[in-house]
Amino acid sequence: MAALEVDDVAVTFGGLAALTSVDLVAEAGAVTGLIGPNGAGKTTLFNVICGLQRARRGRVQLDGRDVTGARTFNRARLGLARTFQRLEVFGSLTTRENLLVAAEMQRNGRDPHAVAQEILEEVGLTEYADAHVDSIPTGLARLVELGRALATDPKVLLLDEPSSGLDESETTAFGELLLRLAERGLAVLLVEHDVELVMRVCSQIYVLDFGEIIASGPPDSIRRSSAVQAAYLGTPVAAHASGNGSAS
Amino acid sequence: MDWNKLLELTIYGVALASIYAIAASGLVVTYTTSGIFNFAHGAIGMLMAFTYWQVRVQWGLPTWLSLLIVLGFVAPFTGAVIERTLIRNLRAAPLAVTLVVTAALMVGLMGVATVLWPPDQSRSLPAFFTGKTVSIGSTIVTYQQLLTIGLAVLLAILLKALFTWTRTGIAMRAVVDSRDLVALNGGRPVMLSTLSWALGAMLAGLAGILLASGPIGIGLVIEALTLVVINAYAAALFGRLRSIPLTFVGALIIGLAQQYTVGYSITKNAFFNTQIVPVVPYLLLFVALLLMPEGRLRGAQLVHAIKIRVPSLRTSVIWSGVLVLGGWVVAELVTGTNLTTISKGLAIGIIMLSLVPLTGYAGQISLCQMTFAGIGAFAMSRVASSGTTVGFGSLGIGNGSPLGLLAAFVLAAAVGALIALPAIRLQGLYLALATMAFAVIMSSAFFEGGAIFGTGSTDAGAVQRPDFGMFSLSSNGAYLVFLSVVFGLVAIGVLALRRGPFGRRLLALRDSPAAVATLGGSPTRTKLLVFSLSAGLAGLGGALYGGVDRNVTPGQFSFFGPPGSLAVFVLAVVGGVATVTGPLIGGQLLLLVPVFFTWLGTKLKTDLTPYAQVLFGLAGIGLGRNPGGAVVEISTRFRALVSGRMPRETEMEANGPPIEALLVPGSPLGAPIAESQLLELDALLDLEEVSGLGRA
Ligand SMILES: Nc1ncnc2c1ncn2[C@@H]1O[C@H](COP(=O)(O)OP(=O)(O)OP(=O)(O)O)[C@@H](O)[C@H]1O
Ligand SMILES: [Mg+2]
Repeated sequence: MAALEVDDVAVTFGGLAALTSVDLVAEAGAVTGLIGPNGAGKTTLFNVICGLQRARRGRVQLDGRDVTGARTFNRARLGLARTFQRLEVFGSLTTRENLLVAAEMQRNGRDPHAVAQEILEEVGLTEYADAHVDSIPTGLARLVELGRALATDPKVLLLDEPSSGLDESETTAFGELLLRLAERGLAVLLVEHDVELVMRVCSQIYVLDFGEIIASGPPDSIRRSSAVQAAYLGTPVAAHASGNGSAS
Repeated sequence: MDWNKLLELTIYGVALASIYAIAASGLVVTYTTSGIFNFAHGAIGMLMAFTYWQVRVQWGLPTWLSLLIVLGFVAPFTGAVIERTLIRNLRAAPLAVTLVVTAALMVGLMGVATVLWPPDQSRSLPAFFTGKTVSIGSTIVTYQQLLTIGLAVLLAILLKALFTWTRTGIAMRAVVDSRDLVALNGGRPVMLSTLSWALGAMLAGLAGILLASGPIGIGLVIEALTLVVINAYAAALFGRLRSIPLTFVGALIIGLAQQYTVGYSITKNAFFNTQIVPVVPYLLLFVALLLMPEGRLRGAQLVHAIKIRVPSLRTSVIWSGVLVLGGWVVAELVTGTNLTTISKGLAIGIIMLSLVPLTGYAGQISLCQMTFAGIGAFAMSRVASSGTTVGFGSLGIGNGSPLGLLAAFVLAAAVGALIALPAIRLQGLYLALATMAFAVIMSSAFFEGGAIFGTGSTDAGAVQRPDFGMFSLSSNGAYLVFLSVVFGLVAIGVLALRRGPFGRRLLALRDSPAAVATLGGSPTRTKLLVFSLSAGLAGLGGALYGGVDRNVTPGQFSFFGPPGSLAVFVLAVVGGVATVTGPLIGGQLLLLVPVFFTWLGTKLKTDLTPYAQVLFGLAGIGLGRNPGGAVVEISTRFRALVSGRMPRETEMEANGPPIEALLVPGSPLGAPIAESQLLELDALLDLEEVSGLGRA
C-alpha cells in the first residue's frame, strides 16, 4: 500500500482546467519527483492533496485511508506535511518558535523543545535559531518551512520548490538531506525546477503538463522521453504553455 | 388579510431597500477595488446630506444645482481625498489598523458635522416633488418613493454594465483579489482605487440625501443618519462584499423585513417593537454571515509585522509592582470625581487588555468588548448582591462575593464563544462585522430593555465591589489600588500566555492560517478559544468597571458609548494593542480626554465635545502611519534617542513572499487582459457567469 495515492483528480478554476485526471503514487522510503513547466498545475495538486483546494473529481488516499473530504488539519494529523512555494512562514516568530509551534501540535508525547533543537541541527539552522523569520534570506526561510514540516513527524512530505534560493553547495547538502529522510522511511514528493537535483535524488518521476501527467518512470526513461523534452525544454509547445498573456 | 396595508408596507419597504442598495453598492465598489472596508461609509453619507442641506436650504440654490454640487463635486472629491490621503497608505496594513483608521474617520466626520451644524438647531430637507403622488388602489405612493426605486434600478443597470462591459470595470473587480495581476495587465489599481472611492462617496451621499429627505423619518440627525446607512452593510454582506446583484437582493430582504416588522407588530408586544425592531438589519447581518460559504484558508499576506520585544516574567512582575505603587500614590493624592475617573480608566484598561491576545496576538477583531463588559457587570450584579429588584432576580450569594467576578468571566466567555461561532470560520473582517452587529443588538435588546440595568433609574444598575473580607475596598482610594493590582496580574498573565505555546500558536495563526492547518492545528478552534478568553477578560473588567460607581447605565455598554465598544477598540489599538502598556494608556485617554475637554469648555464657555470627537478621529487616523500604536512608536523613538540612532523605518519589515511569487507566470508586462486571464480573474472572483462575456 502506497503512503500517498492520488486517483483521477481534476480541478477547474472558472473555465480553466488546472488539473485533468491526475494519478500519482508516492511510496514510503523514496523521493518521488513531480516536474513540469510553469503553470502546469503542480502547486494546485499539492493543495488538493493537503485539502487547501477542493477537487472537482478524484480521490486522495494516505496509507490506504481515503481522506478526500477531510479537513486540512485532520490530514496533517494522519502524517501529511508540506512546504509552500509561496512562503508561508510565521514571520513574526523566530526560527525556533516556528518549529515549536509545529512540535507543540503533535500528541506523540515528545518534548517540543527537544524536537525543535534536534531539527535546528538537522536542517542546519542553529545559527538563525533566534532570528525572526521574516528577516532571514528566502532560501533559509524555505529550510524553516522544511524544518517545521519535519517537526510534525510526518509520514508523507510534500516539498514545493524547496531549493530555490539556495546556492550550489547548499543545494547539494539539501539533496543529501532528502535522501536521508527517505532512508528513514518518509515518502517525499518533490516539486523542483532544478532538474539535475530531481534526477539525482528521485527514484520515480512524474511529468505534469497542462494539468495532465504526460510521462512517469525512473529518471533515465524521463530523460529520454521526447514528450517531456517537448513540454519542458523550450520547444513550441513550451512557448505556448508559458505564453498565457500574449494569447489574444 | 389587509391587502392595502401589505401593499403600502411593501412599497415603503422597497423604497427603503432601494436606499440601502444604493449605499451598499457604494460600499461594495470601494471594498472590491481597494480591499479596505470603509467603516466611515455611513458617516460620509451623513456628511453629504448635511452639505446638501447647506446648499439647498441655507443658501437656497435650486434642487438640480444643489444635487450637482454635492453629488457631482463635493462627494467624489471627498472620496478621492480620503483615498489619496488615508486609504492608499493602508494597503499593507493589518486589518485591525484599517478598521481603526476608517472607524476613527467615521467618528471624526461625525465630530466635524457637529461642529459645522450644531444639533441645537433643528433642520429638515424638503422632499423631492413635495406633495406629488400617484395612487394604486387606495394606496398612495409619493413621487419621491418612485424616484428612489427608479434610481436604484438605474444604478443596478449602470453598475452591471460598468463591471461587465468596460475594461475599467473588469479591472476594478479584479483588483481586490489580485492587485498585482491587474497591474501586470496594464490596469492601474492606484487610479482605479481613487475612482472607486469617489464613486463610493457619491453613492453614500445619494443614499444619505434620500434618507434625510424621504418619508422614512430619519431627518438630519447625525448619529441616526450614520447608523441607518450602516444598516446597508448587512445588504453588502448578502453580496459577500463583491456581488452587486446579491447586494440588491440583500437590501430588498432588509428593507422589507424592517417595514413588515414595524407594520405588523405595533399593538402586540411593546418590548419587541421598541427593542427588537430597530435592530432587524443587524439580526439579518448575522443571517447573512451564517449563509456565507467558508472561503479558502488565507495564506501569508504582505503585511508589515511589527516586532515587539516580549518582557520576561521578571520584568512584567517588576512593572506591575511599579503600577500598583503608582496607583497607591494616585489614590493618596487625588480625590473626588478625578479619582473615580482614573479608576474607570484603569477598569477600561483591563477591558482593553482583553484585546491584547485577540487583536494584538491573533489579529482578530472584536467591536463588542463593552458588550461583554456589560455581561460581566450583569453577572456581578446578580451573583454578588443580596437581593436585586429587577429582571432575572438575584442569586443572593452575598454582597460583594468574589464569586461574582468568576461568574462575570465565565458568563462573558460562554456568550463570547456562542456569538463567535457563526463568524469565526470566516475571515477576520466578517468577525469584526458580526461583533459590531452583536454590540448593537445586545445594546438594544438586552441592556436597554429595562430588565437588566433598569432604564436609568437608581438601584436597578447597582453593581457591588468585590469584598475579600480582610481588606476593605469601600473607599475609592483602596478600590483604585485594587484595580491596579488586577491590571498588573492580568498583564502578567497575558504576557505569560504570549511566551507560552498558546501565544505562539496565536501569532502563527495571524501570520498564516493555511500553514497552521497544514501542521495539524485547527484555525477555527484556536480562534474560538482566544475569542472566548478575550470575552471572559472583558467580562471581568466590566464587573470591576461597574464597581467604581457601584452603578452602571445601559448606555455605557453600547456600541458608541461613552465609553462604548468602538472607542475601546480604537483606543486600545491606538495605544498599542500588542503591548500591555497600550491598554493602560488607552484606558486613561478614553476617560481623561473628555474630562479635560469639558473642563476647558467651561473655561471657554463653549461646548468642546465635538472637537474631542474630531481629535479622537485624528488620533485613530494617525495610526495609519504608526501601525504599532503609540507605545511602540514612543519606545522605538526613545530607544533610538538613547542609542543615538535615528529610528529606522525598516523596523517594520515586509513579512511575505516576494511579489514575483504572486504573479501569473508568463504574462508580458502591460499586455491587454487575455482570455485565459479573464477566466482566472473570474475564478478568483467566484463569478462564473461573467466568463462567457470575457470570451466575446
Ligand atoms: N486560485 C486560483 N484561481 C485561478 N487560477 C489559478 C489559481 N491557482 C492557480 N491557478 C492557475 O492554475 C494553473 C496551475 O497553477 P499552479 O500554480 O498549480 O502551477 P505550477 O505548476 O505550480 O506552476 P509554477 O511552476 O509556476 O509554480 C495556472 O494556470 C494558474 O494560473
Ligand atoms: Mg507552483
